[in-house]
Formats: sequence, C-alpha cells, structure tokens
Amino acid sequence: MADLITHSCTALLWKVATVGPVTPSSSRWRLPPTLATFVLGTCLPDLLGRVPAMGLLVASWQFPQIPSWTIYFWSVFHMPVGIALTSVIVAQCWRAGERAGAFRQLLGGGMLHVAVDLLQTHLGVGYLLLFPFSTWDYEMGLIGSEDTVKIVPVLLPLTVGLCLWRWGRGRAAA
Amino acid sequence: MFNPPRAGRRVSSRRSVTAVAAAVLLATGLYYAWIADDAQEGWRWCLQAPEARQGSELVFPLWTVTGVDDPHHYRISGFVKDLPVDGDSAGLAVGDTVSLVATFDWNGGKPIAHQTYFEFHRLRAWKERLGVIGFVLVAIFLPFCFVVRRDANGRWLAERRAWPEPGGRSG
Repeated sequence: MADLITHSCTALLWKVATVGPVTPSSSRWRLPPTLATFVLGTCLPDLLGRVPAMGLLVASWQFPQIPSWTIYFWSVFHMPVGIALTSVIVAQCWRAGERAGAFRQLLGGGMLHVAVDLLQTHLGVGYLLLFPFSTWDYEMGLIGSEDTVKIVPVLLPLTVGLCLWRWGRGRAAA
Repeated sequence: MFNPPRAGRRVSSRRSVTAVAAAVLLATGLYYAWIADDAQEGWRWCLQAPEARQGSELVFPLWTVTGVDDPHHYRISGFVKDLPVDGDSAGLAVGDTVSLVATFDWNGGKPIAHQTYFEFHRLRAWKERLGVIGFVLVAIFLPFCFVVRRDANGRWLAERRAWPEPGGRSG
C-alpha cells in the first residue's frame, strides 16, 4: 500500500484535474463540492483495511492468544468488493437524495486507491481484485513498495500548488 | 392511512441496506480470513508436519527484524514472533524491515528458515513515518470537512464546505 499522504494527494489531483469550474454560488471555497467525500473514499481502504490489522499484528507479538484470523479479516476492506460494500454502508449516512452521489464518490475514491496501489510490486501475493469470486492476484510492478517516499516530496507541493491555483481561479471567477 | 409515513420507509430502507451490506462484508471478511488461515503454506503449516514438509519454500514479505543473534542468524516477526532465520545478518538491526524467501528446516526439533532470497527495505521506516503523518493529518482535517445536520428525517452527514449558504448559520 502507498501511504495516506500519497493517496490523499492523488485524490485531490484527480478532482482538480477532472471536475469542471465550480459555480460561485455552489461553493464558498470554489473547490469541487464532492472533494471531501472523494478523499474520504480514498482513505477508507487503509483506515479500515490496514490500520486495525497492523495494530493487531503488533499486539499479537505480546498477546499470542490473538487468533490470526482476526488479523486477516480486515484485508477485505482493501479489496474492491469490500470497498464497494463499505461505500454502500458509509453512504447511508447521507440524506436520501444524496446517497447515490456519496456512494459514487466513495467508490471512486476507493477505486483510485486500488489503482495507485496496483502500481507497486511486492514479494509474495499481490492484490486480490476479484475476491470472493477468485483468488487471482495482480499488481503492475511499476514501482517498489517504498518508492512513494521519493514521490511525496514532489507530489505534496504539486498538489498544494494546484489546489491553491484552483481556489484562486474560483475566487477570481466569483 | 395504512401506509407508513414516507420518512419511516426511508429510515427502514436505510437500515436494511446497511444491515445487508454489513452482513455480506462480514461474511466476505470471514471467508477470506478462513482461506488465509487455512493456507497450505507458511511456517505454521510446516510445523504441523515438520518432517514431511522439510525443504518447503517460505515467503516472508515485509517482516520486521526483532533480533540479531550472530553474523549468520537473526530473528524476524510478522504473523509469527521471533522466527529464526539462517542468513547473513551483516548491517541488520532490530526494527528493520526485510522480505525473504527461505526453505523450511526442521533441524532436529529446532526449526529454522534458511534464507535463499533477501530484500532489505531501506526506506520502510520513512514510509511508516509518512503513513503516521498521513493518518494524523486525515484524522485531524477530514472530520472538519463534514458536518452532521438534523431535520425531520433524522440526522445525516454532509460536506461542511458546501455549507452554509451565504448569510446562513455556520455548520
């Protein structure tokens, strides 16, 4: 997995690049109105799928009675099927008329997360994209699992700069 | 008069959708955990019939070094704590992250993994720091991007930045 800074930056860049001009009346900040939901969708696979598993794994070194299945269980939140189901559940927090839109943003963010992770290479099993229908695994192997450390110093200023530019353009349009 | 109120149907539908999705998610997670736990490979699987599985290949992706015993032996932890490895430990320190391919050796009752491929993850510590920083930033800033609103249908979530309307109360 890439880190949350990389994932958040790619989500922001995706929105800045793909969403058209925001009308002045629709936003105080002149950024896409679904931005935070999309970023949330991008972060959820790691927040739900990795953080609890890593915590339990380290805890199991001190408490061996923690069963290994409780560590494996969380991986489903990092698979497309789990991301889709999580998006369905989280989208229920929105108002009835806004749930479909929230679901699309959460799912889109989650799929962007998977797409970024697929660029990596790991020793052993890759990402199970078709689970539970298949245990076929895949990853592109274009970058090493730690290469995002080298990318972040470029990605972070680029993202902040483009968001500020977009915000400034929106304010000027207002 | 026999129809329930529309708002009530919405709440019911919302709960039903949440319950079904959560049940499917739980079942899928448990199914994956069962498959992973029951895998016909790995250190624990080898220990179940050690003599029969002598020489089996083991893969340890991203395990943590938790002990360096001598120049040719060290210990790693992942799903197993302090697994002994027979391999060059030069330059290794506790807390380093490594990926290994090894072969299982029962070793007359003192099982050990003989390293055949080694990968040192030099930047892993930095990646973990970035992960922690990212987690803290998300935990601090993302909640500020949302607001809980309330109306006749109950409470619901919305993006704060789309709220308030000019001159309206702050969300």
